[in-house]
Amino acid sequence: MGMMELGSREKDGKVYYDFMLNRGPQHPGYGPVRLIVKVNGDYIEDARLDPGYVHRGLEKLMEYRTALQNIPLAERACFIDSINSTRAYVMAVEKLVGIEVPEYVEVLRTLAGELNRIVSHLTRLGMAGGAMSQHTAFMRSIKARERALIALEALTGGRYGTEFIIPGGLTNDMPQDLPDIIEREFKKIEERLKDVETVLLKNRIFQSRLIGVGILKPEEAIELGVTGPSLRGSGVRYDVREADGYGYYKEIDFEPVVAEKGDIYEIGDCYARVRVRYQEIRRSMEMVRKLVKIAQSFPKNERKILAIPKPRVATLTFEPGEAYARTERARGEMLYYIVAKKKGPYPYRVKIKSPSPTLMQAFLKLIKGVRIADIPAIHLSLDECPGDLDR
Amino acid sequence: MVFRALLLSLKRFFVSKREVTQIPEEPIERHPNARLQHTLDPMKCIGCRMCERNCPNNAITMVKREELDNPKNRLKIYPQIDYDHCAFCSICVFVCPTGALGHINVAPDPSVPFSEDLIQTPQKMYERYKIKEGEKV
Amino acid sequence: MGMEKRMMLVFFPGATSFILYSMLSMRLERKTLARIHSRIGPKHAGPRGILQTLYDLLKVLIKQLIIPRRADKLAYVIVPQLAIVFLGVALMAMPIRPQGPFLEIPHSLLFVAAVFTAMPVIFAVAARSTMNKYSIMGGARSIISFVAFETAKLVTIASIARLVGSRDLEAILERQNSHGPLALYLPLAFIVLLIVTLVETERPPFDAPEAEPEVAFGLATEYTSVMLAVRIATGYVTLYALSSLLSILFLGGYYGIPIGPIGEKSVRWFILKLAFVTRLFFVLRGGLARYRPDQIARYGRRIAMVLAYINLLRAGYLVLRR
Repeated sequence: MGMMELGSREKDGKVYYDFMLNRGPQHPGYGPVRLIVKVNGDYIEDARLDPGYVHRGLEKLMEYRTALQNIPLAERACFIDSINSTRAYVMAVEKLVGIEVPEYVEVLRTLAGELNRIVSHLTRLGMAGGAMSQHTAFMRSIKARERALIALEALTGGRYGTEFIIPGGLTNDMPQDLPDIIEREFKKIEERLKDVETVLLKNRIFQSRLIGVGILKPEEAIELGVTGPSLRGSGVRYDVREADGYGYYKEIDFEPVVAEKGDIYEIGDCYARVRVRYQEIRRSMEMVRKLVKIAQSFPKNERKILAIPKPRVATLTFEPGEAYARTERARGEMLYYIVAKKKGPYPYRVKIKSPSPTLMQAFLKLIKGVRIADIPAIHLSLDECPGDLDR
Repeated sequence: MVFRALLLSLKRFFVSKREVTQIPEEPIERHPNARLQHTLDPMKCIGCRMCERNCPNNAITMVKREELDNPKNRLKIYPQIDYDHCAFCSICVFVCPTGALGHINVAPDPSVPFSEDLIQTPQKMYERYKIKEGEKV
Repeated sequence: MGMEKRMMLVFFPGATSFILYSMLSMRLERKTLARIHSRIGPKHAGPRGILQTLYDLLKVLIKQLIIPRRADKLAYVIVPQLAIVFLGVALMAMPIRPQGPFLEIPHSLLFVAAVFTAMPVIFAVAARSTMNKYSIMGGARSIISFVAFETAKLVTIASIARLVGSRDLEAILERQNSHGPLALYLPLAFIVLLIVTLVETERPPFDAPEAEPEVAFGLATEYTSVMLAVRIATGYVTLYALSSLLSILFLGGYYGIPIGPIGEKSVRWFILKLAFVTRLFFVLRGGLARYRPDQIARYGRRIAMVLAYINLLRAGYLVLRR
């Protein structure tokens, strides 16, 4: 997959050969995805994607492990935002087996999910700055992300491979000093976010690279199956957290961030998407603060973190049936579809639908006709992840 | 405006607070909850093999250690974790029925000359457990 | 050739100063950027990281020298060195020391401008000779950037010559001695030449020729070992030459206020101004992002050229007022 016919054209008596540019799996400032681009001067005529460099066969591996052992696999679908991905898997398992988790568990799961969303969006903002040679924004975003990771580590015990959400509940309870940690770290994050805003979002050069570039119309976005902030950057108000109302989102009056008509940018261009992500960080921070207060308000005896006894979690058996569940990750909608054919600890088939493949479809459509220099801008504003793409 | 960005960089140039943790001179502050290296309390381990069976990467093997004497542990077997294969998922800690396996918030040092040095014997984990308990007390 | 001249050729502003300047300013750049990013920068290599660039240079030198099979061997090896030679010649013609420049050329301003005009040709040949897609693209972007700002640069230089009434760099220094630094009279010229320096040294915001996500490393993609060191040094030697030119044209060169052992006409003033201008470029890097090549071209043709012409009008006004 991926070889294009390279021909030649004749124009005014001269022969022009097609120029093929390979942004290979080892290209600086990119991920391990291969993009083959046919170029005419500075403009792109055709593009093909050659993914598969990070394929680990997660779906097949999951068929040989129990529900609890599949948690590390479900996390590694996309490492940067692992909690929401695991949550989809665990919700599907719980639906299949018939477990209902207590409210306290939902609150903490939502808290961790929003923290992870902050981490993921900060990573993307930083990488967008780094690709535009704006290293100050990169360093600041990474430092802000470090603070959020410290808060996440205090809550869950891990930074990336968090192993916090398991079928039946959680692995550990919220520590006593979590509210203080969150307040302290969030204050530092806000300082750095202000810096990032000045140096990146309000920077005229950065704006000129992103505004008006890669406009994704709402109808196109829906038709291609784009989800997440990229969809909301085109003005479509669709967020799984609002649509499905899972977890604790309804109780805290969740409102998604949708791009509105702006005075400097157009709806659906790269800047709108980046701005949606930036505002989502702010909104997630608000939600985390609210959730911490709610979690603290639970009396001591109602703080159950497991709905089923601990030994049963390890020996969870599936009854024949199928179930699916979806969550809103930082990149988009993630869906897990689990099928169990016979009674046993292993699932028969697990299908993972991640947001990146559809994002890449949109990417391939958007980069036709733009300049070569716009490829990183569009790529980073769509926020796709190679691990997600290949699984 | 570009000028705001330039002014900010100018300001940061003159008023700069360095926010770096210089490893290894300064230690990284980790929350006590952080799940990194394993600790083992041999007095609690009953040799039920739950950790070995539930590890997703088959990183745990049970080895016979006569010297760690625990009357509840009939076969005198204790877990040995290979950090070459361990994914630090802490499922083993979760499923342990007695709570013998635990965590300490010290990151493993992968810069060892041989991969055999990465194998965490029950003795090593016991030492770490004593350090952790020592800190608590 | 007298002993004095020999010292100039070898030490300052000669070959040794190129190496020293490149190494010190690379380290200074990393330290300055680190301050802006709230980190520390090179610290362990030597006291306060001074030897860092030396170690980097040694590391680069011990790597294997690879010449691509399809590359034009002669051009690949010779042309990057030509860039430094040209810049060295330009530096030799500048009056850096009070005793006068190494090359006593009448109309030295014109000579230096002509040398800089040759740079895009060198880059183009170097890029084409590598026969690598990314280098060729980087070279094409280089040419676009340089050529777009040529007019602005030459018009600004012409305006300075018109105001002073001479094309000789020493005469410009004399005038600054009697009337004060030219930066006060023609501030727009200073700004335009500052921007042109950013273009010629391929720095942000005009670093499209070496934009990592697009063209892996631009011109230098296929260069390893010694050639890579030469290529990186070219960037800094261009900065050296242009900063020297800026110090001479606008800040007064070796003229200064007599303070203690430093006399009124001393090379130490020049070094101070050179350091100031260099550091200015590093600080500017912190807040800027990267332009697209077509945006660079538009910037050069519109903004820079318009500013240069406004500056020319002002220079004319100042001449008429005399």
